[in-house]
Amino acid sequence: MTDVERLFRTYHDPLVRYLTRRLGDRDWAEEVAQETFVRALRQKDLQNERAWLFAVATNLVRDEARKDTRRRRHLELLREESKTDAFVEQPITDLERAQERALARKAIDALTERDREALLMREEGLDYNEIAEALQLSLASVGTTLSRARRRLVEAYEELRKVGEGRRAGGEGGGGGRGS
Amino acid sequence: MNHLDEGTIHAWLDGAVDATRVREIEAHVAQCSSCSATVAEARGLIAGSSRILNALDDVPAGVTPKRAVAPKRQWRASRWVTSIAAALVLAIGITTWNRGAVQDQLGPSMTANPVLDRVQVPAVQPPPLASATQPAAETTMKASISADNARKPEASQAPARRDADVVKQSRVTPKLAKTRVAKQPLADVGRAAGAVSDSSRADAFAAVAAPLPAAAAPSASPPPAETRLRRLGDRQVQLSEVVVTGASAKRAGALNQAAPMSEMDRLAGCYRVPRPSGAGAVMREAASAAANVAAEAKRTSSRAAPAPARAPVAADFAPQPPALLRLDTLRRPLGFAVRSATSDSTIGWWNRVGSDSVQVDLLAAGVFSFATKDRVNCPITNPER
Repeated sequence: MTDVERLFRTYHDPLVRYLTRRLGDRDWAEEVAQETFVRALRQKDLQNERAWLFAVATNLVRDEARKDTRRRRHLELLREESKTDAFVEQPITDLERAQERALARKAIDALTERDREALLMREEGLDYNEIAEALQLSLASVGTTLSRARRRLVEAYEELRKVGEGRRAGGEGGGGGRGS
Repeated sequence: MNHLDEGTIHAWLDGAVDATRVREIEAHVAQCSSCSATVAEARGLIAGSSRILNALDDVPAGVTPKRAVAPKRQWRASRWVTSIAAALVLAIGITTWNRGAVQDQLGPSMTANPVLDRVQVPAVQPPPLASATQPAAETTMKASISADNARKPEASQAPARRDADVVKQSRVTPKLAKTRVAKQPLADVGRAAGAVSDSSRADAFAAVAAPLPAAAAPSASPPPAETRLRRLGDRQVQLSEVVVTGASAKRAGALNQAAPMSEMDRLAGCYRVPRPSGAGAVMREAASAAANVAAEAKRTSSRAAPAPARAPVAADFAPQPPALLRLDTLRRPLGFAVRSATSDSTIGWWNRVGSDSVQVDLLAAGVFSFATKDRVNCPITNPER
């Protein structure tokens, strides 16, 4: 039988971080993590537990994402994040962090589901075998998937950042014109 | 050797290729400027994507809308419910008072159900008293019918059939209608007969009854005759006696619809988890297999090194639950969120059981029951949370 405490202590934090990055909501992430652990407890024989946990958590997220209410909530979250762009009153460090987070969220959402999951799993230290098992991929395709995911993420982020800077520059220029 | 593809380079940089392949790749990259550039780019992509993903970690808990547990809000909520309840009591009280007053003006004969004087049944004994607790809609309907009948006294038998039809149309089951007829005070019917023959008084009764909301929901068990007497005699109406009519039942139902969230606000807060030696709340084992496994882990953890003083989040999931739980009003699929009061992690869910107790399911740690009187003050947490 799997030692439940060791399972929690070893995998709770990386799993919640993976899910938080995936979902953008820590409460939701912790809820999915809990459900994942509950299922792990029911599992009699757990081979390759890290891959199993991440696979179950990923499937739970996919199931949840199909529900309209969850999607609506996620959209609300995105909207809230985009709102932070307009909060000029915030301290500059908070504003920059909020902007960076919003950009990162948009960039990660621009990836395909499989690329996103593979990348987030890799960031949590899963090796290629575990990623292949969790996502039902062939081992040879994990490297290709990860390279594609990383390139797209960086490119999407840079593109979004340029668009944001251009918009802000345009706004400042326009404001100056009106002022003069 | 052909140029390395991007996937291979990333696998190599991630340490996912075997030693033989590593040597081949290293040898190739050392002599191929194109692949060397690709490797440099891949390193940049790996570092860049990690940095972007790290920015995602700056997500505070509770970014989605939820209900706060602040005491002020609790007070506002309860005051709001109180206002509705007060308005409800006032409205029902005025309605019932008016009804009593008019009934007094009309005389005791008008308190009888006038329609039943058409029913041919033998009088057995004097009436205990009038059916003031008859549902308003029924009274209205039958009063108007009887007024109609009073204007046409020649139709002596037909109205009875019409009355029966109307009772059926009002979605009262035949069985129920029959029961009502049988239970009606029979001599009262005879006494009311004279009054009903006076069409003007029947009209007046109908006019009084008409403003009452037409919700046909008869009370399952009519109150005894003595209670009715008090109701008719006293104009000072008490709430416990008033919420009987169909109209009030409907409005009370509407109140109950709004009640649960404020109930949750009332029940939410911090509760201290009893240790095995404590004799406060009752702890019982969860029926799920999770609890069994948790117990097993508890035995093993007693041999393990003690946990650090500042408990990590994972400790919230240990079989031994946190000492202090905070019951949040954040709705979750299986109930409302339960957090550890110290680390703010969501560690289970809770639900209301009865009016003054809650049941908390802590997954691995089991199921707990708490009474609201056991609630304690919540510790001050990080305001950024």
